[in-house]
Amino acid sequence: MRNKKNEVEGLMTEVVYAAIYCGALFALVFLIAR
Amino acid sequence: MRKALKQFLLAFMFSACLFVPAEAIKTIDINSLVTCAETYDNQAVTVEGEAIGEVLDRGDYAWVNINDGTNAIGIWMTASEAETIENFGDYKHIGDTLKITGVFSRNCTEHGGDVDIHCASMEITKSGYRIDDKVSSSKAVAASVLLCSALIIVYIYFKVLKRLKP
Amino acid sequence: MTNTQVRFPSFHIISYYTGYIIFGIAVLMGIPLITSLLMAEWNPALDFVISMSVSVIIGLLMMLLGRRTRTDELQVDWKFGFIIAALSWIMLMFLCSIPYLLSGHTKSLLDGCFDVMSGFTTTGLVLTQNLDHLSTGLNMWRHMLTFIGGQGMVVLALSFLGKHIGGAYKIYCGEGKDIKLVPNVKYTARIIWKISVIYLFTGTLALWICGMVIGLSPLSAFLHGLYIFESAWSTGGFAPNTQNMMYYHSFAYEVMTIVFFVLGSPNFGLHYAIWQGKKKEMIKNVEVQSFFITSFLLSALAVLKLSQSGVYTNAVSCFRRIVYNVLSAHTTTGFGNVYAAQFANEWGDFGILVMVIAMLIGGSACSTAGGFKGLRVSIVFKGIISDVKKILSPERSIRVIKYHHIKDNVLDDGTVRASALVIVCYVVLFAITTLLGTFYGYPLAESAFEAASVTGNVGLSIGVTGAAAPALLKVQYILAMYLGRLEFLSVFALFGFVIGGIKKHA
Repeated sequence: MRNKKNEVEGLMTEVVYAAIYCGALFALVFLIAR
Repeated sequence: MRKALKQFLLAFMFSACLFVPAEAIKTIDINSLVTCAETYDNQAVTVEGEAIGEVLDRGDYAWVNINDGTNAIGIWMTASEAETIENFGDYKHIGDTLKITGVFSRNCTEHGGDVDIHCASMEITKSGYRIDDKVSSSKAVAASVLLCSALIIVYIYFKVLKRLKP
Repeated sequence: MTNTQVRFPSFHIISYYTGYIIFGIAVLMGIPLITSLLMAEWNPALDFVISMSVSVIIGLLMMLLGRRTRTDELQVDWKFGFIIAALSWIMLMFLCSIPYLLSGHTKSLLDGCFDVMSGFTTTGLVLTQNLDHLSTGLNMWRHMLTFIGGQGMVVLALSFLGKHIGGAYKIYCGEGKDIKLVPNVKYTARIIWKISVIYLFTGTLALWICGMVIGLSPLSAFLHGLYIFESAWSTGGFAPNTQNMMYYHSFAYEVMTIVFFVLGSPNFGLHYAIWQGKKKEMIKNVEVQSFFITSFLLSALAVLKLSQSGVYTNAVSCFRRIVYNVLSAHTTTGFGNVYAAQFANEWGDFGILVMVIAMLIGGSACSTAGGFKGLRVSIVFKGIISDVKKILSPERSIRVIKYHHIKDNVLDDGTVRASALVIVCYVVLFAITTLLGTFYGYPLAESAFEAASVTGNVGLSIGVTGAAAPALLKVQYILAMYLGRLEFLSVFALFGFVIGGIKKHA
């Protein structure tokens, strides 16, 4: 893991995926409990 | 004779419960409030507890969390009301005791389903104070003795290690 | 000593490595000690001096007693790895409870040990009283315990190993992990720590800023940010105040914790793969896929039922109070933003059962999460599908089923069997714990909820856990947290070793 660029990108990727996941769940909730 | 006495005591205790003094609003402990949340939902309640942590300013209004020993709850009050609170509870302080009357919500729609009390009136019934963090001499002695022993063992360890290394 | 034959080599090996791990954790007690000194909290500072000294003494004495291990380079067999892991966790449970006991915030030794085990196993149930008046030092310690416990005490010790020892991997496996990021286990341990520390900095910073925005003072915002991040990443669930996440009254803060505990829940192999540039791993990984499916399904069911029955009425409330808690349960974190009594009184049996299932399935293998683990559930599920297909397809055809977890793996009978057996162990533990709860008079749904919480190392409570709970129930909960976290084998090995030893010398 010597590539600093990959590490930063990796962290950002994960955070973005987590945020998208939250968004998707919120959309699900919105659809069910309008 | 004994049986009659028992029955009399029972009847007396039972009727004593009926003589509840008429108060405008009784102070409820927070845990009862939370346990019977559905009963108290949207009712005016009075709670009394210690202000803990700090004020969470949200513009014109603020959150103050209070703990009355049974449980803790968030109070939504105006920023100016919050400013009157001088002491908040933490390791070194006991916070001001607040008596809050307000509307209790089990799932406050304004606050994303939070369990809270929207403050209508607030009274500081007791001032908070600083707690004395006095150290007992026995603890200080124990700590010193153990610390010295630990340092001795560390020394012994490195000595033994040096001797064993080829 | 001219005689090179060592008597009782097992004793030396176990003593040396257990002592090593204990010494490592003892040194870490320096952090809360310094914290208390900086905050001018004299009693806690002395409490930590005492705890640190006692632990250093015991750790070093054990290392001295077992020094032949190092000088004679004794071989560490598989069983020792498991025994050392299990034994160090028990001894540390007692040693790390010393600061709690001296603080006066725990009602008994049992309660103190309960809280420590709850921290190590990243469960998050609390028996410490009066959290709102806890010293900064002790709060620092509680949250540190969960951060270290999440990564693993053994992992921590291994990353500092001076000389390469052959037994390192075996001790590592004893703590419930078996993922090798790189062939050298010492470097694997260091990578796990590197990822965690980078996230620690980033996460604390993010929560610090958010904390200040929601009204916390700069110092509190920093401390809370640190504590909450440690608790989220390790999927522990401790919080510095009585109200847990309700203290903050903030949607933004809650969402941030979701991001961190969801990221904290997967396997380190996944993080490592993504950080090396293999971004597709996030989508291809079987555990991510299964978590996605189960979390969506369980959230949907809970929201459907609870919104219909009027427990929560609008979308934001449903997301904040239902989905948050389902995710907290599923990742086995344990952050809660509803009161325990509300689960009991308002969620109803369906809601409670959804939570129980979420808690039992748990997070990912070789991570900080608990439960059956998504990987095993997926393997068993695929195993069943594979068996059905075998029956339906022509007798002569050979089918090879694969699943993708970091790399492509073949789904063979041995794998399915191993996964299924561990799941059986979890179910049996869950059943026994639920049984004990009902024995003491707690309603079935509540006993089951609390049992799932301890077995899966979750930390949400429906109200059973409390200072007044029966002592035997607390002991059972400690045992369940311990067995659940170490995934049974190490503890069975320790138990077997002790019994074997007694039998031999009886």
